[in-house]
Amino acid sequence: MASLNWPRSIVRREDWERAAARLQEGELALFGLWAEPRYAHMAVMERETNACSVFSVECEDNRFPSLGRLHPPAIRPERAIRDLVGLEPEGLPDARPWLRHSGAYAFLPAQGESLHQIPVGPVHAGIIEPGHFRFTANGETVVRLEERLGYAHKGVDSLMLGASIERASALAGRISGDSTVAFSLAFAQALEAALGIEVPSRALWLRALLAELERLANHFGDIGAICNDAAFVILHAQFGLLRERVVRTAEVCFGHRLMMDRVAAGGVLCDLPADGDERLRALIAQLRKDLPDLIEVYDNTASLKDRTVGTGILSPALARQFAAGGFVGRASGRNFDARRTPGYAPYDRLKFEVPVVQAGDVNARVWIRIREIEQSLALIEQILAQLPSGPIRTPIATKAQTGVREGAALVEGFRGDILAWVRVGPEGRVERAHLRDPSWFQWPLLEAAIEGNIVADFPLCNKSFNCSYSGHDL
Amino acid sequence: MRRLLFKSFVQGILTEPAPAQDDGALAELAARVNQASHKRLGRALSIREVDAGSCNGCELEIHALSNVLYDLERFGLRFVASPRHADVLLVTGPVTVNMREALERTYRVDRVEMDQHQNPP
Repeated sequence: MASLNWPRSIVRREDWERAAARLQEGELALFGLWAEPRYAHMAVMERETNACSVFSVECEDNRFPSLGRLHPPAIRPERAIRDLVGLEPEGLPDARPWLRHSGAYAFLPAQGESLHQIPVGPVHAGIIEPGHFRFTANGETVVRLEERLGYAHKGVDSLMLGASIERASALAGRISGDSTVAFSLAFAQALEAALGIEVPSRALWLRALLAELERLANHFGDIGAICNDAAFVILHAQFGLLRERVVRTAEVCFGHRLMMDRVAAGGVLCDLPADGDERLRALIAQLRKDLPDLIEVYDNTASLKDRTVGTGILSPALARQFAAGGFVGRASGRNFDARRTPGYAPYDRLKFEVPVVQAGDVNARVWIRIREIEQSLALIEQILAQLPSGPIRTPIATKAQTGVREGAALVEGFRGDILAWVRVGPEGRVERAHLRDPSWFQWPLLEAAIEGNIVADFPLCNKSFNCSYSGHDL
Repeated sequence: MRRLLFKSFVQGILTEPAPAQDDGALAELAARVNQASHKRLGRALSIREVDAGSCNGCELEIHALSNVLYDLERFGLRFVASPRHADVLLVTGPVTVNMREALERTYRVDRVEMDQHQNPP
């Protein structure tokens, strides 16, 4: 019943508690924590061997031992479990509601002289997702930031219950629109693991092509936005232009600027058009031509570097403890990329490097993204050069399946690793599904990174993390 | 930096012309909306966008409207930071339970400012 990559086992309470202790010791890394009536599930990876597993514990009297008691990254997922499923994590250090908003919210106190609070959101000045930030500041200096999220909560896990494969796939592709390819891919891989579907090789390569285009578009847009938050408008305009070039090419080649609903279980739903290869090569050539000047300006403008260097430092220890994915982790020394570990096709056939630095400041996160852009450009060239021919989708015959099937997958989106888990019932409908956005293990780190910085640098720090609200709030 | 500025200078303005209104009915509708909005709102239209639970896809595309190729502001359409400055409230997303109050408050501010604009005390 369990998938090969992430075998699931039902464990006793003692073993669940032992896993909590191993998370605390750093022997295991937490990749997901979710629940359904009667069972809580955790997805973990062994730090030494990279072996992945899912552990489930039966919740007698609707209770299970809290992981957050020993391992802080589990606290918010456990608060969400309380809100959404009604299970009680025993010993959970923070029992305030998280995704369910009801009544006044007790923000954590801060004590000291001359402190004042600044409430921001959920409606922000810019065009961004909704969330609330409560700053406690001493003059200009942030003493404490506390996030309150959940404003974008629309009940995705509940909407998944009993959904057809098509409907569930559409939902997965709308969990976080900026990562629609990555979410669709993660969900498709989980379904394929569950149903034992073999994906044609051309489809695997096209998926990687879409995923790298999505990574490029987001990295360009976000680097520009970071510069904009330092009031350096020219790079915002220039990087915005590069983003637009990518999404326009995506529309011409695949019929949708964000490439929504292009990846599906069994393969992909669109093939590269006759002139697609030429258009993509022209795009890569244009980007390679434009990029060096922009990087040169970023790196040699003292007033801009003054804002990004040394700002919003995330320590490698915290990045490791939270198993922070993506550029947030890699800018703070965490050498992890789901394309490599556990890895999936066709990346085993592609040459790419995973850039890692230790500095952990805004500048480091910008540089990791610049390096990842270079890698994605090279990856797209390799994909175009080696793209196999053949069919792009294996039809899925869910009706023919008998019994309950489960699958899980880990996919590298632009933000970091996305975990997808799904159980398909005998009728070919989704019995339960859970998709974990990388932001779950990045949002709490933003609170740590901003401490001691000035309030005016918060937009920079926030944008350099660019966590998802919708992906987190579900 | 000098190189980039020089390049920008040489390549000229990247902003593309407005799409042509080749559809007669569409052009007529645009003219009527234009007339009505001109009378009620003046030459510019200020928009306050509120994300009430969208997937962030709409936000990315609304951002794109302001990039150098589209430059929405040249048509007098402007996204503003406060509902107090806005003529229009643009809502994205399904309106989640948790965003209901914030959205209603934004809407009420918007309405009050609109009424005062049209019926000055």
